[in-house]
Amino acid sequence: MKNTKGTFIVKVDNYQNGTWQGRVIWADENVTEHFRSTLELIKLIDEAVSAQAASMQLPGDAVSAS
Amino acid sequence: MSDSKQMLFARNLICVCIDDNKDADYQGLIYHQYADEPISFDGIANLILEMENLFDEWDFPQRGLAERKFDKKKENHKRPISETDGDKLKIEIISDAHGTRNVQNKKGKLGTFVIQVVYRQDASWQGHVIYQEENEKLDFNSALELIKIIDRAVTK
Repeated sequence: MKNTKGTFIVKVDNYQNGTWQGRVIWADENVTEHFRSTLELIKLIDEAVSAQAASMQLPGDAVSAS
Repeated sequence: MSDSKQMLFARNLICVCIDDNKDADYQGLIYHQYADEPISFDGIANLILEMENLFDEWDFPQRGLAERKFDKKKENHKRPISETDGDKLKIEIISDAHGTRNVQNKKGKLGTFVIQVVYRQDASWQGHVIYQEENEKLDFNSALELIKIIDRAVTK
């Protein structure tokens, strides 16, 4: 998870069931998703950052397998 | 508060040992009943993701809502179909295969939390947590509340 980047715009619209509901925009890809909890927000950000990391390593990147 | 040691009993019991507080976040180990070796985590977000992975692996507690993804192709709205037939739950098969271990005897350097997630409703977690050092049992209504309980206990 090192050297991975992502930009997100988060809008929390509600606070129900002890957690956050709202929208997150993955700015790098300009996609929006609604989240129903903090857990879901964390998982969405993780998905985006993991996808970014995977795509960065694809085109013959000089990343040595440590 | 009574003097007796607070305990939890559940198939999906997890013990979180907080060992360090670097980079304004927490590092430590996750113990569960079905493996000797703990899972290490670096940061609370990582801890939450590792726990959610375990619950998905065990299919226990079953998730109440399908996962949302930025990539719609990766969303799965079907109930997971168990690979084995019969009446056994996935977690029972895992338990039979790996046996169970006590996880309530571990100790983190900064704090120890025994966690039982009872439900996964509202796209979050509901359950109980014991802060071992204080022998204090608390309820949480969401993963966010659990994070706050852990943070509050360790920074106290």
